[in-house]
Order: sequence, then C-alpha cells, then structure tokens
Amino acid sequence: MVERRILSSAFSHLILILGVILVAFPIWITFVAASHDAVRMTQVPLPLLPGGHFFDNLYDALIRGVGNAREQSVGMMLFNSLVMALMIAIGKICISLLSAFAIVYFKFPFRMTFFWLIFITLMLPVEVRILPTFAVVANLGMLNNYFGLTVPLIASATATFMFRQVFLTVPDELLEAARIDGAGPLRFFKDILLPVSRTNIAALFVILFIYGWNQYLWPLLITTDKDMYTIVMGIKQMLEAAEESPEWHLIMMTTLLAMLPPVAVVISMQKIFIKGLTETEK
Amino acid sequence: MADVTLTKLVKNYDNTPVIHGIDAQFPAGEFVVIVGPSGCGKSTVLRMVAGLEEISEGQVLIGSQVMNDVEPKDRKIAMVFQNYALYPHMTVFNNMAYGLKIRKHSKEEIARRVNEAAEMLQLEKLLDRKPRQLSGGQRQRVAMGRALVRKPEVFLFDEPLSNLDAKLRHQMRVELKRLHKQLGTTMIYVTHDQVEAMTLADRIMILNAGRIEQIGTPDQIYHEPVSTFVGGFIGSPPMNFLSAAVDNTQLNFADYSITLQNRTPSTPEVTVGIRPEKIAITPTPHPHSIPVRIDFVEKLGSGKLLYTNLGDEPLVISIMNGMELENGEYHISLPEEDLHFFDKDSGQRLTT
Ligand SMILES: Nc1ncnc2c1ncn2[C@@H]1O[C@H](COP(=O)(O)OP(=O)(O)O)[C@@H](O)[C@H]1O
Ligand SMILES: [Mg+2]
Repeated sequence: MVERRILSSAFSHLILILGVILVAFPIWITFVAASHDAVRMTQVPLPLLPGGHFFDNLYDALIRGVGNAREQSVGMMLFNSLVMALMIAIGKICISLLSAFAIVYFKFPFRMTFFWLIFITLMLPVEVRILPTFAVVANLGMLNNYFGLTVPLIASATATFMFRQVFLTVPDELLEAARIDGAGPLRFFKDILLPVSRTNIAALFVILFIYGWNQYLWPLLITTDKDMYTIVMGIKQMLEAAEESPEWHLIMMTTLLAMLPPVAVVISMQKIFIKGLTETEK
Repeated sequence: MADVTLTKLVKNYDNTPVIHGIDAQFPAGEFVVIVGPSGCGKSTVLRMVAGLEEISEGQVLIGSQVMNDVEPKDRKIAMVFQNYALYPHMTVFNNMAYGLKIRKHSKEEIARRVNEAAEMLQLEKLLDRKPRQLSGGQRQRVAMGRALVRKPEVFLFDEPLSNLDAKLRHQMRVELKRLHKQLGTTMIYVTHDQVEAMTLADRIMILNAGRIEQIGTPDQIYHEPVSTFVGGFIGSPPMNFLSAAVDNTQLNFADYSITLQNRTPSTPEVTVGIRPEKIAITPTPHPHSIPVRIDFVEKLGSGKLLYTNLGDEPLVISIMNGMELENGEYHISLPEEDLHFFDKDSGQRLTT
C-alpha cells in the first residue's frame, strides 16, 4: 500500500512538473531573449541562459522607443492597452449587472424577449459583425480614440447571463427582508446585491480584463494613429519591420512587459477570483 | 400595538384561488397562530398582511387603516422568515441596524436600539460576527433582533423555528412567549406544527385548503373542535375517530354498542371522536366495557401509547406511567362526556 502511494504520488508529481515546464519554458525563453543584445540574437544556437543586457533593453523599450525610427514608446502602448482593457472590463460589468438586475427583479412587458435578444448576441461577436460595426464607429467619429476601441466590445451576453444566474441564486426572502426594511430597488442593488455578488464580479473582472488586453483585430481596424496603438498590435507590427530583420531582443522585452499587467491582475484578485468560481453559500 | 383585521380576503394565483375569502379579527396585543397542513395558504395570508403579496380581493386592516396599497415598509410590521434571510455580508450589528439606517435614525439612536435588542436576545457578544459564523439558533435570534429594533406594531413570523432542532425549538418557543409578554405587541405566527400552535397562541386560526376551519383559544380548539379536520390536526396523537349509528339512546359501533345517558346526536349516522387520553383501560371487565387486544405499546418516557383496533378502525390510547401493560387482552370504556359527535359526511360537529 505504502509503496503504491509513493509511486502514484511520484507519478503525479512527474506529470505536474512536465506541465509546469511546458508552460514555463516559452516564458523563460522570452526572458532570456530579452536579456541579450541584438547581435547575440542573430547567432545560432540561440541562448538558453540570460545575458547581461536586460536593463539596456528595458531602457530602450520604455524610454528610447522601438520601431524603425524609434518612434514608438512601449510605455504609451502599455497605457493604451491598460485603458482599453479597463474600459472593456468595467463597462461590461456595469452594463451586464444592470441588465441582469432588470431581467431578474423587474416585471416588464417582453422581459423574456429582451433576455433572449441579449442571449442571441452571443452568436454575434465582433468578428462576425465587423463591417457594420466599423461603419457605425467611423460614422460616429470614434476612430482613433478610446471609445471607438472599447464601446463596440462592451455589450456582453455572457456576463449578463452569468449575473442573471448569480442573482437567481439569491433567495427571494433577502429581497423581501430588504423591502420590509425600507430599501428601494436601487438601494437593494447597491447594499445587498452588489456585495453578495462581489466574488463573482471579481472573477468576471479578471476574465474580461484579459479578454480586453488580448484584443487584436478590433484595435488594428480602429487605430491608424501610432499614439493609439495597443501593445498586442505593437508587438505584431515590430515583427513586420520591413527593411531590417526583427529586433528580437526588443520584441521579447515588449512581450515580457505585455505579460505583466494581466499577471498582476490575476495575482491580486486570485483570492476572490477562486472564491467566485467555487463559492456557493449565499 | 395594533389590531389586525382581514375582511373577505382572497388570493388568486393565475386565476386559481388559493385563499377563498377569510374574515378574521385579531385584537391588539394578541399572539395569534395560523396553523394548518403544508400548502393550505398560511404563508400566503401572512405575506398579504406584510404586503409582500398582492391582495386579489378583500382588505387587510392594521389598526383602522386599510393596507392594501401601502408599501411593506410603511405598514409598521416586521417579519421573521423561516430561513432567517439575514444579509450575508453584513455583521450582526449591521443586519439589525440596516432598516434604521434607511429610515435615517441618528447613529446614537441606532446603537441604542440595537444594543437594547441584542441584550434582550443575548446577542451582545456576537454583534461583530457575520451570519455564516453563527449557529442556527443564533441566526434565528438575529432575525428576531432585526424585527425587534423596528419597534413594529405587528410582528409576523413565518415558521421561524422549523429549521431548528427539537431542543432549540422548545427553548426558542419559551423565549418567544416571554418576549411577547414583555413587549405586548400583536404577533401573527404561522406554523404547521400544532404543538407550537397550542403552546404559543392566545388564539389559533386553523386553515384548511384556503378556508378558515376554526378560530379560537387553544382550549376551545382542543376541547370543542368544530370538525373532524380540527380534531385530527390538533393533539398528539390526534383524536380517534370511529363510525357509529345512532339508534335512540344506543350508539352502535361495528360490533358492540354503548348506551348514551344524556346526549343524543341529531343525525343517525355519525363519526364519534375521542381523545386518546380520555379512554379508560383496565385489565378486567366492568359494566359497559369493551374488550380490545393491544397489539403494540409505544413508550414515550412520560407515558405510553397503546395501539389497537375497534372493529376495523384503529384506536390509540394514551396512558400515564404507573400501569404495567403488555400486549394482550384488556377492557376499555369510552366516557360519554368525552365523546365528540361529527356529521358522518361533512365532518362538522353535531350539537347534542
Ligand atoms: N407564487 C405562486 N404561484 C402559484 N401558486 C402559489 C404561489 N405561491 C404559493 N402558491 C400556492 O398557494 C398555496 C398556498 O401556499 P402557501 O401559502 O405557501 O402554503 P403554506 O405556507 O400553508 O404551506 C399552495 O398550494 C401553493 O402551491
Ligand atoms: Mg409556508
């Protein structure tokens, strides 16, 4: 019995370690590449151990700028991505909280029709409706600004649906107790419903932040101004530097920087995030 | 303190009536228990008084004011729910204070009232806890505290003790009764448990399928049930029922009969009811006694329940300790003054 337990435990550890290596190796390579200079990155074999140019590269990426004429600042791109991801995540959460609140707690004509209408938009992500959406955004003069970047991505059936499910698990008696206590609908929403779904909101925030951060196609269409480039676009563009060979050390440094904000969000929200996915007690 | 009046109260759910016109008046300061089997409409009546359920027809009056269109928060009521309905993210203190905060009472006033209620319910040490850190009984107290701080005219309880274990239920029952004595506020209490009804109530209203079966004091209801439904619902174990035919002064059961001295039911076919503890049992025969065979004895500690049959109708006899009994042959008598007569078909009480 004891041997078998040791064996199975060793086996599961082996699998886990393999998994970690599989996930971590590309990140390690990114880090290593970001710490060498341009010359070393053109020589074969590529390095597997870090070099001594990490801070030079960091300086280049953040201060001197990248791109053909050193005209793009990674800092600006990070800032754009951050604004976009935050606006998308917060916008989506606000809108879906309110629409789920309306659908669950108010009786109005065609309530279920509205719910299904929202639900059907699940089948219409931006990629499917890209031409009409672009036309609308262009006509509204929202090209090359944060609203054009985010507003079309904000409406969210998934989040609405999720909050609906969360609200449905809140016992009716809680609403009734609040009514007797004298809380109106908005007060109930603010004082009871929001705190009760706090962990779900955090979980959704993490997911949506990363969704927003990783947007590629839409920002590519909407922004022509270099000051509005997002980091994911920026990396792609650096790869396509026409005349020269790509500056791998700077690309990898930018990639490394691009990974930081989502990682920070995940780590800082990890505790409530996991609670939000697993907690059932209301 | 306010009295509560229900006039021709009707509730329809999608045109299906579940409450069929209830008329009742509960004087100020009374402890009223609405009791009935599950699904008979008790909660619906209570929720119409609370304002949580639309009133289809009729009126609810609290004091002299018609409440039909008054918001729950303005009805001067407070309600305690079966599953407590505490706000899970608020501390005990905030749970109790929430209603007062909305009503914009001053900080000092809120603290004073909450502490007063906490003291009354022995919650002082728990004020900083969240509901999930409390036991069932403590949560129940917090729910009561939340009702208490409002200083309502009428307390409404919907099966507040059903989620507690038997011992705690008994303890809370005693506390509730004490609380009522102390406050003197009108209380309307819904339960399916006839023991709670009998022990708590000044007045019991028995509901059966959306209609009032009987309203009265626990004594009236126990000693003069208006129907076989009430007799069978109140009392543990419930009243025994035997069918019999009346022939002048003879009461003929399936295969034996007794002679009535003073009472004559007005119909020839009756259902006779008798409480299990009113049946006298002896090992030896005596005049007018009926032989029975005890099949099964259930020991309760304080007494025993004896199970037997008369003809093919089951009969339960309840005796105190002190009498040694085994399964076997015994003789019982049914004292005339303890018999209840009901119409065989309608189940309504017959005058004698
Ligand atoms: N929202 C509702 N819609 C339709 N029928 C309901 C609703 N609520 C209760 N009922 C019906 O009304 C009757 C009385 O319910 P209720 O008052 O909850 O009973 P009790 O509290 O006595 O167990 C039941 O038959 C129940 O099925
Ligand atoms: Mg009920």
